[in-house]
Amino acid sequence: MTVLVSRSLRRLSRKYILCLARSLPLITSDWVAEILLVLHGSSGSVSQKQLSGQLEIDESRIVTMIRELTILQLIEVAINPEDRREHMLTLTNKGQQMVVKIREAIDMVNHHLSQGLSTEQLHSFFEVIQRMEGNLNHCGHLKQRK
Amino acid sequence: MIANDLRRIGKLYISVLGQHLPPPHSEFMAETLLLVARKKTPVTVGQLIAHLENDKRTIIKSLNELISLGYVEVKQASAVRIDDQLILTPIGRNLLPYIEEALMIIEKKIADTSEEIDLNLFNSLLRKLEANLRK
Repeated sequence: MTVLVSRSLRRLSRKYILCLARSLPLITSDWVAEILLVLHGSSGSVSQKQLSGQLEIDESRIVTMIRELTILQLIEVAINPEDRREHMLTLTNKGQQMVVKIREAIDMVNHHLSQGLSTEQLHSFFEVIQRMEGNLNHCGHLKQRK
Repeated sequence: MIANDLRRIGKLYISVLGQHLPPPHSEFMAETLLLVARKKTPVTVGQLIAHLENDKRTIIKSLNELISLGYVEVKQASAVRIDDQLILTPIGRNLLPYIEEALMIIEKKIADTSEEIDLNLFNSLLRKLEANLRK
């Protein structure tokens, strides 16, 4: 039976998030963790639009997640005084503390994930997914140029 | 985070595959038609849901699209929708070679580097990683 690579990847991704969620009850989706990590990685604040571009997800979905994170007091939303249409996001102290927990949880899940696999196997796995992405990106460009 | 990398590549895979598939160019269509064609016994809606590992509502919506396109027919087996049996129509059956071809194209494309990617090895690693997460 042919199994599409996309489904195997999605299934693994889902399982990864489930494992992560077990150690972080506040994390309802990987995007939540990812948003906090992006905000932590940026110096100062990030606009909603920048976040949506960086994570490659719709702004409408980002809005829902931001609302959730604001209710949890993990981030703060402020209007950019220079462009009042723009919403700027920053981590709260609680959000900063959550990032530390997320990193610990990711390390733990990564450790769990790699059990029984050698460093070489893991290295080649990530190298392969990078190459696959490169190949698929290349296909997309070829199609657009036609 | 690994989960995002996997999902991003998955999405990219679907978008490239969609360029080679017949309408509605979806992964769902390809997997449904292949499953129904390859099973020796009739596939029920419930089995399709289990196979695709997605929620019932999404699957029913996509299935209705395939029915309206005339690719699949439904034979009622009981009053419950998940017991409905799926049958390929001649139009659906005619699409199978195109779907197989699209899958061959994408497999060739993802392995298309100077240093060949061993997809079997890759899939066995994927399964091992998944098993670790299941523990």
